[in-house]
Amino acid sequence: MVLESRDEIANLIFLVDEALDDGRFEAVGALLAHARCTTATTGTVIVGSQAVVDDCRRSIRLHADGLPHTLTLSTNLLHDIDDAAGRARVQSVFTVWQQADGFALQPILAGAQHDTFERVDGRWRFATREIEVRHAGDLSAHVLTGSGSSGDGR
Amino acid sequence: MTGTAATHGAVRSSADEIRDLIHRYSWLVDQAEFDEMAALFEHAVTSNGKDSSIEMGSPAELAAMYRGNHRLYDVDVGVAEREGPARRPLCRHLCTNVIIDIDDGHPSGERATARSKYVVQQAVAETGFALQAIVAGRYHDTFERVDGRWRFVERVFFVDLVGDLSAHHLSAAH
Repeated sequence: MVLESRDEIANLIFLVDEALDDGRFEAVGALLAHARCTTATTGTVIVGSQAVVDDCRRSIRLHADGLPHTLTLSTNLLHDIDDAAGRARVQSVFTVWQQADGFALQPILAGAQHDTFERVDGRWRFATREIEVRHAGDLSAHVLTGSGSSGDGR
Repeated sequence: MTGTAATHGAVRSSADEIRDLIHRYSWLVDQAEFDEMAALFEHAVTSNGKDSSIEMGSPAELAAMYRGNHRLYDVDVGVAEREGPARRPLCRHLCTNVIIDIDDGHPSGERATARSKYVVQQAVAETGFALQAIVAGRYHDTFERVDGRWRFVERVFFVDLVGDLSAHHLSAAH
């Protein structure tokens, strides 16, 4: 095996961040296709790739060029991996940075992610994701109004 | 804490070595050690993501470019004595989200790609420039393993989010 489980799993977390920043919501949905996604603060639950895509479309504002103009970072990964059982739990901290026309570079959202993973047919995938928003900044350039953000449409 | 040989003496993985290369770049830029930084790319093509056809040149040219466009400040004498360069950009790169893909079946030997993200933070006490993020973006890197060691073969720099670069750049050109 070329990558260790912890690196494969970290890749999954970072791939979600990357797809969100690229505005590739179908890719977000595909990565979370088998995951039960919840938002700790609101109790919203999202299940299934289409529901994730819909949630992203509903809550994330795309600017004139079709991009969210965000850079979503996940750091401080704490791994608890049971390789033999093919189960893993990883908690991490996320920070969303943004800059757009007339909107200065700043962090707009920060919190924690509690993820679990399962290995199916030799590949790791998300089993559950719980988003805990702890600090919200100026979301005026990021969130579409009226959204009850959830699954991964942070 | 004491560690056992099994956990601390283990051979580092390719992923660890590749992350170290990415983080070494950040460290060397922040230390204003531009020649050492450029040496990381001795076997690499570097380019700007906006127009990847524009190569950033040889290591010597890359070092000269960084030397030319980074505003440097005096650092505390004690710090300089302990850690080297007395004049630095007074910024720190946070580098994270390293997505690594290793291809050990590549026809030209072991290859890997890594996509990562950075946020550069800066503060300049002498001018009252408060601690803030000044620029953020991504690196798309390709590595090869030669004689058992990983090295850069390509880096594409992407500047995505731009803040106040007035304390960072000597010119508007990046």
